[in-house]
Amino acid sequence: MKKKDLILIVSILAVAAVLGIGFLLFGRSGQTYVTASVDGKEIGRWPLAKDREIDLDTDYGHNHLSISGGEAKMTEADCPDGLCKYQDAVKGGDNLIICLPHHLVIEASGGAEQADTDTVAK
Amino acid sequence: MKRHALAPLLLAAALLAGCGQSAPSSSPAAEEENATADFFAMDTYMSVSAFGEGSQEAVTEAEAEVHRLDALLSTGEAASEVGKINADGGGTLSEDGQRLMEASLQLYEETGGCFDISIYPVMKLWGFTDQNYRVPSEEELRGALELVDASAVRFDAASGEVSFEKAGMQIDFGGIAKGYASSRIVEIFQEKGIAHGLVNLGGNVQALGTKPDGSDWRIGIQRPDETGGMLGVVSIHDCAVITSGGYERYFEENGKTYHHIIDPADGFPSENGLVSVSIICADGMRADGLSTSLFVMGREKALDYWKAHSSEFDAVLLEEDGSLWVTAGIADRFTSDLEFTVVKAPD
Repeated sequence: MKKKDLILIVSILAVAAVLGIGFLLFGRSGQTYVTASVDGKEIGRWPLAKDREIDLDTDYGHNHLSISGGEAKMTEADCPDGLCKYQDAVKGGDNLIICLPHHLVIEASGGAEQADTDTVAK
Repeated sequence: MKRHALAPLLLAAALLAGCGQSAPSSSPAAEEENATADFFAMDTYMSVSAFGEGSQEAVTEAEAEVHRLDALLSTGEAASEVGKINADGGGTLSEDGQRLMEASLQLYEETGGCFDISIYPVMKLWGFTDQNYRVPSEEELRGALELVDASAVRFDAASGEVSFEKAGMQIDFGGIAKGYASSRIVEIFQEKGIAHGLVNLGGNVQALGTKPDGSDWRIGIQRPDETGGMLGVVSIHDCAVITSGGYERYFEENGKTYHHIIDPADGFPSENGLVSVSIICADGMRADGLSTSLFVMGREKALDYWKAHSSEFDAVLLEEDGSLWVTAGIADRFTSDLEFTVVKAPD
């Protein structure tokens, strides 16, 4: 076995190990995540299982997302109407929180209910 | 050496691509290209997906079409077609405007006035057009209601010219604009040779064909309460599913909730026990108009209306006491954890 082949095998194993760990942490674990997108582009993703407070400051303005007890709720918004603060918490179904003035969408992914439908009429 | 250095990266790329698939599939169609566009238009959040060859071009064109229609139909824009007609008391409608006007006036006739595009002056009074919500006085409402009368809209289908018999009348296609937009997107998909597509324009859903694997699309219908769950799932293809409910847009004043679906008969938010109406219909524009109309009618009149038009659409109705009504044409494709009553069509 040449030295170059050994380097190749070790490299492949290293990449596989990194991918495997990543897969276990973030892959098809059945965990539900909440994602934030602005203009359709994802700006953040957090597991719903862990409580945390998240400031979402974009070109459109400020929002604050609070993840607590397995659900995510918009608790602050400096948009004119602030309607997003009164929208139902996101908790793994196919519901969304939308802040129209800030082009911001909060949605859950990976929940069982969502996996069962292609989209939701509302 | 260069070749060896690249090999791990290529392997990593191959493995990553595999991780990205949600489920293994043996269907060739499922492995074809697909594209989705998410964007804001018509004061809401939209998602448009196409599957198969040419899907990226199709969704790009679909998004451009929605923005075009938004600019054409927006009541808030003085330069829009509808804005100009409202300011001038008439004008000439474009081809899109003509299709919307014909459908609107037909719905007005068929629903006994429950669908009325001339409701706009009343919507303005309540602040539903600019989010400056307030409860109007009786006198204000009486004045605005005198202008609400779609039978006083003069429309010449040959020339596209429209005028109002009463000075000060104004129109708004908002009750069917999103349904028209979803129908237009399906037309664009078909022109591009797309066989499978799914459109969700702020909760107004329309599907082209089946899913790429040949099965029906499963469309959840949102519960109007605060659970964030669904009241049921309907399996459809080549069909629109459009829901109206007071929970979509509302405000509170002195402890009372006022929602945005106004009854043209009295100018107040419709209160008849219905809290959610979903229409399942091949025509997205008609589904959109009917969901509002049946919501205003109340359960009894809505089901009578369905019985007279049962070949054209189906409906799912939820009342505030939890009663759930599903029309016969969709009952075997509707599933729910809740108990529901199947409404039979007359023999």
